Amino acid sequence: MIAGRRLQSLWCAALLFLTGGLALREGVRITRASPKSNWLAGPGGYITLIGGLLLCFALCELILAARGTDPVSHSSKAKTSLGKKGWTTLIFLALYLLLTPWLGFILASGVFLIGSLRLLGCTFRSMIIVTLAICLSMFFLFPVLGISVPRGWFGF
Amino acid sequence: MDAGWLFSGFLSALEPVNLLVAIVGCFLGTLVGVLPGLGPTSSVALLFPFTAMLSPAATVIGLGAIYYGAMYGGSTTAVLLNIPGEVASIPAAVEGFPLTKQGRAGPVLVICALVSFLGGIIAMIALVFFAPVLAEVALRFGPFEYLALMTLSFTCAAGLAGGSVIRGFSAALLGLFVAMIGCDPGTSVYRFTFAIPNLYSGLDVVSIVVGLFGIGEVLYGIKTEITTLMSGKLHGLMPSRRESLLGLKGGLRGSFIGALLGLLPGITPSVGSFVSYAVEKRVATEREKIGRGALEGIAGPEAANNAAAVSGFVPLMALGIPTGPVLAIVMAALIIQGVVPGPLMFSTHKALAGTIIASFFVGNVILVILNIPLVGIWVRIAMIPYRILGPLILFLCVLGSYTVRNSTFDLWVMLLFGVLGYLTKEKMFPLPPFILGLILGPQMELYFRQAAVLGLTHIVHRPVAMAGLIVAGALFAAFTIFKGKGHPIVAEDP
Repeated sequence: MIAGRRLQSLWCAALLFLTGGLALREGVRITRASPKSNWLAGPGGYITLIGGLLLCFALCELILAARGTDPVSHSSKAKTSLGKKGWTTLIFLALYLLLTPWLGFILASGVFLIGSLRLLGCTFRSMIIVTLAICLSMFFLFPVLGISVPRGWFGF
Repeated sequence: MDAGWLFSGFLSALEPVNLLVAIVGCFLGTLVGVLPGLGPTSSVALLFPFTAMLSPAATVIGLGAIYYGAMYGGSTTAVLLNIPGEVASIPAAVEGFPLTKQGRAGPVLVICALVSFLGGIIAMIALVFFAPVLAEVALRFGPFEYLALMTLSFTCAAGLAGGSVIRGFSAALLGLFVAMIGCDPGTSVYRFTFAIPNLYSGLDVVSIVVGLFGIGEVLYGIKTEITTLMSGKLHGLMPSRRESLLGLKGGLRGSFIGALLGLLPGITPSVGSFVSYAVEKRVATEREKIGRGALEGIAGPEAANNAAAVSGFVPLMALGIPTGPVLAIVMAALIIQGVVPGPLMFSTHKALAGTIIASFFVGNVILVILNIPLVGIWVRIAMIPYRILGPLILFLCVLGSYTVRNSTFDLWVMLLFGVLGYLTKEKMFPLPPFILGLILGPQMELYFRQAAVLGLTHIVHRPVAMAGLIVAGALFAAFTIFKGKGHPIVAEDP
């Protein structure tokens, strides 16, 4: 458990180091590009400050992890992965976003709904009813409401 | 005090056309607000074009009604589905969702409606009687005061979030970091854009919030294989006497906090909501339940949220400063109608000002009348099997994120933050400070740079700002000491 918490602290520290370093680098770059007598008031001063603070907090996380002090007061439950269904849903969602420009929003939504409803154990009947209801509502209501969604190969 | 303008305002607000606009606005606002991901900004923005055909008074009444309706709708999804339609509903999600799981969604939604009404009415009274004085005080606030106020907000949010103080502040800083992405409005310098054109205008807040809460929640629900959000019997739709009393106490506190904070230009209802939540964590009767489903933890922020939304009209009407994106849209609608909000509004358009203030009362009454009978319908949404609701929520998240800016890039941002939202469910970083950093980031930077131009050392000559910073420092020290000793300052995030 302690090893898990320490690993979590290290992950947090890594994220803070990454963002802090990025902010510091960007702040220095912008300050150099637009020199001012009062650098704090310039476009890079605030970023540099935030970057510095993020690095300080990253350092704190690292120190606490090294000392074995748990920086999280709540209990860390045993972590499990997203699971097969969770990962598949994420993949479906990514495919949905990828297919939207080609199939159009309405059709891509239909495909996504069929896939994810089936994945989560919906019956064939409810899957068809829900998908048809959503797609037809979008097809007829969106033009009335003035909502514009991407159109695909089939023109809708 | 000459109350004639207010009386004629009530007469105007009660005209059949204006009344109809208020009813339709409240209903549409709630309907759109109930859809996860579509918050008040999206709702007002979506319905804004339809107001072009209305009179200036009906336009503000309609947009105001949509605003309240959407806020109430946002709280409904927050309580039922753990998806806040807007940032201000985050406390409602944190406290309301555990109660939904216990079958208390009905009473929670009724209390939400009633305290929203209470907040709106108290803010309206404050608006009528104290607006001129308080607006004058707020005018004297400079960048130092705002900077101190925001630092105080961050300290409260970071210290009171579940987990360590370090993680809380880290989350707030990460929010400030994400808020900096895009073009600097002051100097047009691109920051963290890596020559990607989609990043030039920054990341859309709605996509981030929808991803963190909506997608993250569904992924968590799928992982834990829940069957319904609310199983078992509904334990009544109306709150008990004790629940009503708790709601009233929290609601009254929240109303005053929201009404006061809403008067400050630049303070959005979400700040009022978070400050009220922080106060409830300290003073609520059932503060040990905060984080696991405490009614006062919902009532306070909900009342503060609505009160701040109403009193936010003070800086808009008196100073011409909108306090958030929704009021910016309202301001745009008024300008289109030929009415420029600002110091002259109370002299040149006094009748309109009276109508707007009266419409707050009428709108809030309609909201309560309309929504309490509909609570049962909203509650049944939570009883839909998760195998159907989960994919539907994901679809609505995609739709909600897309409609804000019509950008498919925002959908990828939503997906990325969805995964991050799932990870934060695994207790890496607390979300409320992150969101606060994200929302207040641009304003914080503006005030910081203004203060830097004036000279940061000048802060010692600003007593209000110094007091704010000293309180923030004391709170930081207290949180670090108490949490370091293992004292449960707050309960864990659910």
